[in-house]
Amino acid sequence: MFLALRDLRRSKVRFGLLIVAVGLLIFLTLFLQTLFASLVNSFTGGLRNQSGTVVVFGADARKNLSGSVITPAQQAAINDVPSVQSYGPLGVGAFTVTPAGANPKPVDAFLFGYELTKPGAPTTLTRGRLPQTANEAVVTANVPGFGLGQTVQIVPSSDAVDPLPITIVGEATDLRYSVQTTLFVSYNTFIAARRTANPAAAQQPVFPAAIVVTPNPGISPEQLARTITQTVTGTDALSRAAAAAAQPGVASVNQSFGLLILLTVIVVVMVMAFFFLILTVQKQNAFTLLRAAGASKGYLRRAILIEVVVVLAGGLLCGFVLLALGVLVINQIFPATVNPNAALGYGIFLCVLGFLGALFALARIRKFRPENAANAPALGGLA
Amino acid sequence: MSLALKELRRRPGRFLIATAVLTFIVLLITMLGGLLDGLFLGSTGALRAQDAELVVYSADSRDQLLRSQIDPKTRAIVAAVPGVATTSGIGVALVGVRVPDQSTLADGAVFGYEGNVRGVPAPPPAGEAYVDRRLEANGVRLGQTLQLGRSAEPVVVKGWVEDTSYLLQGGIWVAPEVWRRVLVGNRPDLALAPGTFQALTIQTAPGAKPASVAAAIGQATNNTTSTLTVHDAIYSSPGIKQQASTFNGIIYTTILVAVLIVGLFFALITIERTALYGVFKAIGASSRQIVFGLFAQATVTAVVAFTIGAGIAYGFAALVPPSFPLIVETTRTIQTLFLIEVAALIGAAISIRRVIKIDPASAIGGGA
Repeated sequence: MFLALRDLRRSKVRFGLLIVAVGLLIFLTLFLQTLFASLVNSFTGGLRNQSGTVVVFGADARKNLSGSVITPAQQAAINDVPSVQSYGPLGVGAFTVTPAGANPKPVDAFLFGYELTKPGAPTTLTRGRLPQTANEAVVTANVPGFGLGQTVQIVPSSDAVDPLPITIVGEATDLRYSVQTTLFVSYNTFIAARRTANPAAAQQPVFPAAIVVTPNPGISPEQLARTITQTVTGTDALSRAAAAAAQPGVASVNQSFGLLILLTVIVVVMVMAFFFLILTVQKQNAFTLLRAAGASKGYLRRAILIEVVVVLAGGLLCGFVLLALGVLVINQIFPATVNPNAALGYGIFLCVLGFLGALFALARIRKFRPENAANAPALGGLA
Repeated sequence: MSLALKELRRRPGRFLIATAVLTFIVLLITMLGGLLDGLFLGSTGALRAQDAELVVYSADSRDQLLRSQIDPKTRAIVAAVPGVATTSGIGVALVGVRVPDQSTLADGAVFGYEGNVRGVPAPPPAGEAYVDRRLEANGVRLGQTLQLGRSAEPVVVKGWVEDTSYLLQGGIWVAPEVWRRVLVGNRPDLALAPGTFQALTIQTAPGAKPASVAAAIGQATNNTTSTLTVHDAIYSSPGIKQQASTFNGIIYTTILVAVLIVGLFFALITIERTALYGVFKAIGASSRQIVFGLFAQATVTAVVAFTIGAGIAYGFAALVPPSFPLIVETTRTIQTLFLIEVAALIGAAISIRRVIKIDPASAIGGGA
């Protein structure tokens, strides 16, 4: 302990640099992991957190809600599938919405329309209640201008049409879709929003993007999804989790962030291994002399271990502080939230890996034999 | 300096770990840049290809092509604005594309256009299409008949075009009436009135300032339109700005890590060689010569790491499927080389003070 702490005190700059480097790497890994989790949540939250456990897409949509359409004939056919307990339409679309407040600037938002007594309701309500009638919505929590009791408006594409007012009656967490604020409204409100945004298509039918289904007890969503895909022509049914994973961007985010996080983890391990190995090799003479003076291998290993622990603890602290700052900054452009348990788990995992990297240095101690002191000219011995 | 380079040549193992760490950092930076470029280029090709100065959207669309509508009346007002030379209508529908002999659908961005798109000939007759080469990876071939969207609108592939993707979907360029049919066939509620396009691209008259013309268009249409330069229109595409700032932030943090790692490495090397540098100074070497030696070693280490790291990144980019948005661009690679060299030199510079402080007397155990 004494040796390690003295060394740390004498080489403040060296260890300071290492702590900052390890801290930055831990920050980078945690930040990537936070960004990854937030992106996936923000891409698919609306779909994952609605009550239908099976999602039926049009087969031509490539499992993309924005491009999917289910025809009335397909809806009827889904009704005839055995094991369907209940089902309902899910309308999904992007709209320009004016938030509440003084001089509000219109923003992009998604509307999810569902039949209020059928599957499709948001499941993560934290405040207020679900919509009970037209022009009411549950919205992504903590979005300025979309607070409980406030009224927002769907912006029409023509002066000839009035904006469609929607009153916020509930807030729910993890309810974004395609990273945008998402409002869950009645299916009729969704149709009205479509007519408002595009009055030119007033004579055209509004088909749901998907049908959300609840299976009979004892039937798994996966089983029912397979049955629907096989029996209803032109549909592609998936369990809710699989449907969320199939949304645009999720697979590429998974692949690319997985690769980036892996590369960063490798760099963390290498930096730790590289630094402590060089440090140990540099101290070869001093360690050999200490061994000759009676210090045990365990004593020297403990000294290095203490340094490793101090560096990792400092790096972890530095990483968490930077993560908190990084998330504050990133929240200006993207809604990211840190999952403290996941971040802590990841941080500890990185420290374990860093520790494993430093084991090379500990193994090196084995080579420092006391008798070598007599042969080392730098220690006054004979070559 | 030659001594430093000789050391590198004769004892490369000494620099192995630092080079390996830097190699991974180069790989990380190149991959980050490659993903950023892949996402950017794949999402904005169609907009970048516009041979125009301005793009006009409806104001309520928040500059999103998919939600915008410009009707014939508004178009006539825009066309009459002084400084507007030509107007071209454009619209897009994102659909699944059935490719002959392929079991999975391809992602297509069907563009209806009137012209003024660089690299894309004038609109083909109905029933034909110019198709982005990106879709070649999905089995699309010249002369094939593709079926577009839910309504299975048939088009024959007339020719290839390059770099015209939109939102990571391959561009399919068709006559406006074909696009309208695809749009209605796919999502009836998105149907547009006859003659309406999602946006207009504007070529300004010679001598006219695009910014002034954009302002005049806003005035003429009572601000029911939003006119952007093509550059701004590109950056108003969904997620583009956010992607760029997030990825650039990560890239610069990684560069900072590289600076610290190189700094640590050379600080350690300098400490290890304090006595040796003392000898150099005792026989007449200046601090500058020693520092230049460190810089030379940092430069070579960074170049070797860059060559290996960038090589791996290029190899990886060639192997990944087209759905993986990774494009390693030469300009980005050169930028990475520059950044990693600067990082290495700054890192090496951390040891300058220590080198200057070395006393020649330390050669005989008398100082430092």
